[in-house]
Amino acid sequence: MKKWFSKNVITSMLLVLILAIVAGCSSQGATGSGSSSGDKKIKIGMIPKFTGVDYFIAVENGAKKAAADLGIQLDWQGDPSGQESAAKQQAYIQTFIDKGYDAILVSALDAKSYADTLKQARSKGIKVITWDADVQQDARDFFINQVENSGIGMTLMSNMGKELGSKGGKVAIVSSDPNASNQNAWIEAIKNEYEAKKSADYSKITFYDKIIYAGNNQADADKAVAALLTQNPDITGIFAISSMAVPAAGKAITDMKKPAGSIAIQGLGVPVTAKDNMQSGLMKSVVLWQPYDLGYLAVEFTSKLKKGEVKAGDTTFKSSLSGKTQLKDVKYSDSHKILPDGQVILGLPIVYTLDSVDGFKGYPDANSGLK
Amino acid sequence: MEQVVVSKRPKFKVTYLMVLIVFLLGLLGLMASLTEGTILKPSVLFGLTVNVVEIGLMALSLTFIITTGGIDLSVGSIMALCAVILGITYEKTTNLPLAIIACLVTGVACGAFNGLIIAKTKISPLVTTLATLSLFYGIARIISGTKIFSTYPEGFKVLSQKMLFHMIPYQFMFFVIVFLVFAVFFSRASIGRYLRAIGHNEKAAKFMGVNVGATKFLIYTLTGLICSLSSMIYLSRLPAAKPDIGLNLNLEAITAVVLGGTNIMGGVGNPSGTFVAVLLLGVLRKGLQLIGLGGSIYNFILGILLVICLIGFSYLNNSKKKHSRS
Repeated sequence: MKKWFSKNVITSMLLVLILAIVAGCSSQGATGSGSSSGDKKIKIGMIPKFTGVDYFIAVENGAKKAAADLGIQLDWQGDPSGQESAAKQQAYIQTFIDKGYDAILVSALDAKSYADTLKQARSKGIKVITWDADVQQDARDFFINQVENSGIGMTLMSNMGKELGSKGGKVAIVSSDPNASNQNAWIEAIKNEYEAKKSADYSKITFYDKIIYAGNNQADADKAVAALLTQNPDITGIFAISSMAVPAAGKAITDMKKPAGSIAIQGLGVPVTAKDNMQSGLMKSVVLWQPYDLGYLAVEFTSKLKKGEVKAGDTTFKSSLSGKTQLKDVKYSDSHKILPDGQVILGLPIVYTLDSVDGFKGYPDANSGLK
Repeated sequence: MEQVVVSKRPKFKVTYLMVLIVFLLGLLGLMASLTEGTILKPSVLFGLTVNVVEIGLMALSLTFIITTGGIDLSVGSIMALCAVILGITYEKTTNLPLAIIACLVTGVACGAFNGLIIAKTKISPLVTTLATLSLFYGIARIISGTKIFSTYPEGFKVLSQKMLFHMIPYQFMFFVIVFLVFAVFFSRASIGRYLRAIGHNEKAAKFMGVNVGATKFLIYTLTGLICSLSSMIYLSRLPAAKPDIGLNLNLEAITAVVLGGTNIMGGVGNPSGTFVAVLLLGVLRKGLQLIGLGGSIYNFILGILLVICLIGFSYLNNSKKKHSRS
């Protein structure tokens, strides 16, 4: 027994030693090959919140178009099985650091979890850019934001006010989870807009006292919204501000056999997917932007940042989208705003109605909405 | 290396360990060529261990359990529950020592609960821990709701941010130390013999004077404790405690144990093999990620490895016809 034990331990020790030696020998070779490929293509690792979801497919198509236009190597990294988590995103980030990529573009599932990993990337000279969903400010260089958060809140709240009209009623907010930074910012913006005009435009509207967190998968969202409506029959309006919440609200109203339009749904949702709900009268409009353009802008911005054509402290950024079509006849302004906290703003929110749904870019096909 | 080995079984084990090491080095070579050497950079090579320390610790203590012919499917749920308890306690009290104690107590309590049922009733470990897998996960879900606990003091992250020689992560060294302790206990202390005896033939072990119930209770409780340590290491690396962080960890940990040469039917255990297998899984996972095949492919390969090992062991068992266990 003693012999066997010592032998096993010795073998394990030897193994660690061998690993160390192998590592030592090869590190020289590895750095050598690294320097020779110094000024090649810019390599970008891009990490979405989810893959295989309409919204992120549109972003992916936009990002890939930009990469092709600008001659950039773009790795789109997600889990094909759709089981995303902050832990996996952290592993993807670590992997891009290991591979020595020039920039990491991430849509964060969670604002805090892997801030340290991102800081580590920045300390190695890798540009860290968040898009769609931000992390804490000191962990990234820039945040490519789709719209200013206040814009979303204002649009949603005023649409709700218009739809409920003079009747008013009780409204509830359905979000994804308490750590989702976008959603939290929008909730704040909705509340701010409400507080500002509480005594005038929104005098008949009251808020359900809790925010419903419906999670990040469709089944959970369906259950949460159905429970909300069953327990609170007096609710007349829902702010559905996550991609799962819009279909969940539509489903709950249909399942409860309430007439279409009896509960106003104001939400952020992918227009193509919400088309059925619009046709059946469940919702009149959805608010969104062009995720395709968001992907394009993120990659183009990164490329220009890497080349030094834009830097921290700039207040505007001119991209190839500037002045071009946003939706139908609406055009982007001549440049993108850069806020002092490093947010680069894509544009203004778009209210999609049944007439303009087909102008949504990049989904279901890469060429959809582009003519 | 070329020593004369006296008894029969140890010879088989050493050989298997060798095969495993060769396999590990081969995999490392393959991954090195597929990733153009990236995986062999010291920072990457040692960094990859960070990903498997948590399941590695669980796998070490699962080696003990599986040697007795038992199993613990609830390890991931215990870990998640411990993490949530730590997170919630720290958020409510901002008292880190208290939160750590609460986390350890939770782990021990969960493990002891498993151990008590398995030692005192005739319910099989598989069914028991399948039930407690849902139970602990459910508790974690209920107490956290949809909240994620992500506020911890800076000092808590020390474990995952410091590296020896800027290369070797502290948690890996901790893993090595725990491994050495487990290996010593397994081969030198009487508990190791008890475990193998129980795995071979529980009744015979009882007649030999082994306190089977107490031994089982002890190892399941130990596993609970290890899970709470894992949860702290996880949180120091990824400060976000929520119920689903433990999902599927049991599959990974059990694969490491079985791949390491521990017989799933009990009787034969191999902590050193588990240690090497954990490193192997680490290389496999990192390699796949570097190639750009993260996520589900890894789970798929994990499943295949597990099936191959199980078939291999049942073949070996049949051909030897040594232990006739029902």
